[in-house]
Amino acid sequence: MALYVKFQSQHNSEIDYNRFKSALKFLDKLFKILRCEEREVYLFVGDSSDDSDEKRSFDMGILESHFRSGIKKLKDRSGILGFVLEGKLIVDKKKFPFVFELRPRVLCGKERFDIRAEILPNKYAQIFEDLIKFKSDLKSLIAQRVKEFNKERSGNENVIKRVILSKHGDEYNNIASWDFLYTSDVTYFLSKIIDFSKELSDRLSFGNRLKFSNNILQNDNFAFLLSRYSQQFNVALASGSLSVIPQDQEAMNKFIESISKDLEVVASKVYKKENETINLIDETLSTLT
Amino acid sequence: MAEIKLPKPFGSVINRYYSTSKYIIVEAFVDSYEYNLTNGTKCLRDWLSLNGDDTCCDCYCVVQLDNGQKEGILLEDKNIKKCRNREVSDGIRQMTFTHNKIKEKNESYPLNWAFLTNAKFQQPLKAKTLSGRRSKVLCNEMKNHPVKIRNSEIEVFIV
Repeated sequence: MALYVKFQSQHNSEIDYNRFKSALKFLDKLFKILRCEEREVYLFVGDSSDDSDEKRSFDMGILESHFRSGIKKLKDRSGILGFVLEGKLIVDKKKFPFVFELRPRVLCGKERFDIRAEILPNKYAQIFEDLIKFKSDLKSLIAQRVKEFNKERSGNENVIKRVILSKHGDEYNNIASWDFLYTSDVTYFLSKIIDFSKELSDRLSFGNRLKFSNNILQNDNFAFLLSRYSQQFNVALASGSLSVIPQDQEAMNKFIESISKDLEVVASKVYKKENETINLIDETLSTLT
Repeated sequence: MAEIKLPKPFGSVINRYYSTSKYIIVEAFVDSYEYNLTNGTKCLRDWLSLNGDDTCCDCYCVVQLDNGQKEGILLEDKNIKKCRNREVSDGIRQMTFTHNKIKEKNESYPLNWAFLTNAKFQQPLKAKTLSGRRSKVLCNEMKNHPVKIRNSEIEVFIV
């Protein structure tokens, strides 16, 4: 598992430089929660394991000009540039080897994440989420800093679209295995629940997911339902943008299962199953011919 | 001298790699946090003077071939039952760290190969390997030492 961050995509000429600046600003926010020592940074092209850049100490000014010259050198191919910061996080007087990676833009399409923050295994912890054992309010602090980040954003910085704590590879599909979610677009939360439930995906295969999600979200009863389940399963919710902060993974699983079951009931009243729809189309057309 | 046996799956990885030549394992160190020190293996963390804060790879062993040449091998296993962080890049970082620590010791220990098993591929790397290209993944500080990646999940063995 790791902490993943996705930026809102921007359409302007300085896009790669803006991603870089936003990543550093987020890093700064993270370091206000978790102290970090022995910080070293290097740029890479394409794949973080294929780097050829020398490691340099974390000096913002030098790094900025170094990144700018990297972008200039690559010209139109600057989307394949990324950076890695390696350091030691200090939490509860223990040190954790830390890796923060800004992935190349070309690899961060619709669903992929721009930033990955992870710790390397040592005696005390294996993955980023284990830090919660040593700092119990870590998830809510991250949610708070992300909101701060989006509030303080200046014109040439990317806004944070979503943040999740998740197993790599599973982050796109199974919301129930996530340990934390922040999203500025609440319909994303519902679309992930639809992906999670086979029944819902099946029924909505001929329906409009976005329209369904928007209508559900506008309904007051759904807000009551969310609030009830969040209390029942120890999941903290923050409104406006949506932050889901479960006490543990089991809580998240039960929370998502309960919501998806209720949505299945709604969908079953509104939409037919895929097979039923196909049969209905077939039957209707056969009566017309 | 009693025969040194490496913990699973490292024994079979070494066996497979040296399948065409005779060899003996002359020295082996394993991470005592993850493996028991049995069958002649020693503690990697004690040898490299690492504390609990540090990360390191699972195993380092020295193999002697029948022509007398010695080769040093780093091994890291990202088995799904054992590891929750299974990223290729993180595995390489752990091996690089161990590699640097061995170099710092300034003793004449050889370092030739690094094997990473059962790691989870990042999307770009997966795409690269599945396209059928033979590719090499090199560590930062291990420019001349290719990391061989064996991944049972997607059945590839990159050389």
